[in-house]
Amino acid sequence: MSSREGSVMGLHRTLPGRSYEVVRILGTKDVDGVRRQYTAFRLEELGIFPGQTVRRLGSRRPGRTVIVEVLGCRVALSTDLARNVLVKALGDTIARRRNDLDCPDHGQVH
Amino acid sequence: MLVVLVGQPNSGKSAILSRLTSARVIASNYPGTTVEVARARMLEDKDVEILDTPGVYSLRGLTREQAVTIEILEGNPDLVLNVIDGTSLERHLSLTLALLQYLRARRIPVVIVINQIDRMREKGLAVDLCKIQERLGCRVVGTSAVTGEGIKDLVQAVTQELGSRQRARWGESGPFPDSPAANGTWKPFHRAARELAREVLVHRPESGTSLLSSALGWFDERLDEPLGAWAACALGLFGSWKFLSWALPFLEGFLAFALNPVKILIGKFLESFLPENRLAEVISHALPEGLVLPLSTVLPSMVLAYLLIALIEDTGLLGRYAVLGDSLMGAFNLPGQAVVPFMLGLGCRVPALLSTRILPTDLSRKTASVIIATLVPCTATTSLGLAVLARFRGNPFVPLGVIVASGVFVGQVQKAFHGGRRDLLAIELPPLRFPVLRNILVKTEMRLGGFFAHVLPLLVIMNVSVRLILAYGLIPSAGWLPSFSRKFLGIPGEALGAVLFTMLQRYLAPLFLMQLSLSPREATIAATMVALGFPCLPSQVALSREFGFGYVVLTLAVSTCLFLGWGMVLNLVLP
Repeated sequence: MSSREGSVMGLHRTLPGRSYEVVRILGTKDVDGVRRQYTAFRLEELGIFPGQTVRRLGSRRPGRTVIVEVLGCRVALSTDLARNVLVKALGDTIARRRNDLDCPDHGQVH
Repeated sequence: MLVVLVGQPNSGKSAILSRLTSARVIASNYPGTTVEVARARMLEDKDVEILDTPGVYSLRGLTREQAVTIEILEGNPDLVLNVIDGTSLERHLSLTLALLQYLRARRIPVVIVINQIDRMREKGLAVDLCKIQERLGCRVVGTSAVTGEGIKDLVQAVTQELGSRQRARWGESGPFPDSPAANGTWKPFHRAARELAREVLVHRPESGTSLLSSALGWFDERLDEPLGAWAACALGLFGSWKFLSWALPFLEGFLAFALNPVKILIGKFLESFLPENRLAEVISHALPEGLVLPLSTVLPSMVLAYLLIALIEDTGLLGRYAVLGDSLMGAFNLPGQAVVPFMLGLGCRVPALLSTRILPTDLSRKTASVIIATLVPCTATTSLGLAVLARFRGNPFVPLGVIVASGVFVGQVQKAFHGGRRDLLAIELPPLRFPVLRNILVKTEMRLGGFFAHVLPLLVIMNVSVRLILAYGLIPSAGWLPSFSRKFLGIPGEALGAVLFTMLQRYLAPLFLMQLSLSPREATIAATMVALGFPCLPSQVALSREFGFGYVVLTLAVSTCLFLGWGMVLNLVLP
């Protein structure tokens, strides 16, 4: 249940407000009946794939839909799907560094 | 010349199409509004046809929408407009990069449309257009389809690109990953998109975020919490109920009052030239009644229901309802996204059946379609059914409970047939937006077009048919039907006849019931059976188109089992 930096856990067990790095998408045959490849692709399209940083939003109450912020958007996953997404907690500094967009304040802009 | 709009769900493609053409397409704030390809001629140049495609996250052909988009692109269009939501640049650029790679190989020109620049400004964001143009090697235009900002530039860009016909000016350099788009991993595109977004996105803290944007952001965060989400849902339901309970009687009363002179006038006009016989008498009464009854009974509920649905769609609450509804939808063996077609079905079943395409697999689509076609009551049927119950003092909670129980039953049967499989919720939640009144009114008006084109003429014809059937005693009064109906269902044979008429036309049954003399118990049973009756003809056509005729037969069989089964149960249970 711990969300210590570095420990791997299911996305459904993460703490709201914390950032995590996706480590692996589980599922050898089926992910609760949904084809594994389809699920992995679908998650990937939504921005959830190994190496990606996600931030948990909302509540941590069990059985609830998991809402995460990824690529600047909110993505909702059912708990059964979220438990197949393995993540590890990121330290605050790393998370900030990963999330900060290093944008220049010049050039012709719209 | 053919121009194709391609982009991720909820990027604003349909709104751009509406701006560039005279097409009236529905645009909403939830992913998957467009389920079919829409096409229209460009206002400035009628030779240019613009195609709006369903939103896609990638070009891997994983979903039906992706397959359709790829098929259209394979047709070698003259120009592609890639619409991007500027507020989620990084997310949308992954598709852009894959699309550019795909189009570069086919030498198809493209214009990138960074949409929603008004909302970007509200968030204190901007895009360095020169840099992104230079990096991508194609023209980039900033627009806001809602306010119309930048649309002139877009028209100019389209005209120039089509005029120049420079199909071979793709450079070899660019931020394109090496990985192939089709069936490969999507990660390189996300990574390249992230790098590109970092380069071209400009934070402008001096512009600040608007008060409205901050307030919506605050509400968005509250909705992430279950308590806040349920409170918003309860408040929305309570508000809708209060609004309906105030506006519906007012609108119905006003229309009945306003249309009564018209009814009398039409009746007198018909009497004046029709010959004096029984047939003419029936027609001169039934025709004006058939015209006024739907306008005063069905139209008000349709207007108000469509207004509320449009409001929920445009605020972005529909996505939140999908999250809240995930556990509830589990009872129907469906993922939370199914809330969207279900809610649309409360307006009309046909668009609801088409919108099941947003569900991830065929299993979910078929389950949702059967439940929608047999159980989700559309506004027209609901208002007529409630009119029957009000007339005979029936209990409206009985049909409601029976519909929910039947939905759970159908879902569980489907689950058992498919080895307990269930699709899981995985959706992008649109940000909350302040709805634009014009868009809500336009959508309501467009959806009501179907009422005047299809429902009203049918109701007039059905009302005349009911009157004729009753006047000439065409309902079988002898044989097994009345005795079976009385013994097993507790309703008169004519009422069962009315239920069976739903096979021909759904609206006929309540109109028929209203002409009978029923006790509250009989009205409750009959109205419940009508609510579970056969889907209307347009729904059957939609079902057949989506899944084949076999599914229509299956749906009709499910309907028959449900309405006969529940009729017998209610006959045993109701006091």
